[in-house]
Amino acid sequence: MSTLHIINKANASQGLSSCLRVMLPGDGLLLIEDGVYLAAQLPALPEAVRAHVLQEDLQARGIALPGEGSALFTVDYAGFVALVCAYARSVSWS
Amino acid sequence: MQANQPPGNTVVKLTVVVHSAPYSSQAAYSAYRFTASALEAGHEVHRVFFYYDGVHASNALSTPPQDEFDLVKAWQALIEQHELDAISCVSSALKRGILDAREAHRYEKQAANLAEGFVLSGLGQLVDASLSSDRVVSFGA
Repeated sequence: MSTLHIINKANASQGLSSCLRVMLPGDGLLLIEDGVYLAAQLPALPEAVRAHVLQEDLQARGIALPGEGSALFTVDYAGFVALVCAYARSVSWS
Repeated sequence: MQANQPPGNTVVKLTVVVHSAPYSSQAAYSAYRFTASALEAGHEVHRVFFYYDGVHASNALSTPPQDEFDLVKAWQALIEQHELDAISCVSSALKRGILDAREAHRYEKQAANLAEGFVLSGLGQLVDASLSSDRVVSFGA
């Protein structure tokens, strides 16, 4: 049973570092709101963790979308909903 | 690169919890966008629970400039259109000056301002929603 970890703050000590301590292989990560600033400096994630970023929050901040071949998957709000449904549960870190 | 969609078209029963206030945090808006997208995708939104500062989204007296997005009205339209169960935590709301007519009468206040469509209720509604939903998503916790 895998978990979707949602990060909405840019400060890695708010959320991401705590999240990494409990993240398991096969979990998912989603960066939204100010959390998208972490897209450029994402640390190594456990095995088989898929990382996603909310496209409209990236664009609102003038950050370029991840290019082809990036490990980061871009999602829109429909994709956000699909992720929440695909993982067994979600945790919103702050 | 687009993320893979989950297989099938299963309807998922969702509960959305909103912890942040409009104009203080983007999370209040994100929660609305998420809920609207979930409904658009055909999922069931079992309950939206407004907690702590999140209850400000149910203040009928919120009056943003006419050319700005009005989150209270947007929620009201979504609630009406989809007959959503939108609960503002009663203790969070009373402390923040958001009262329905009954509470205004009980505490002898001069006015009530809970936006139409929202209901004041207790934390039990969040526990109940967590138990009876497939997924619970929190915003701005």
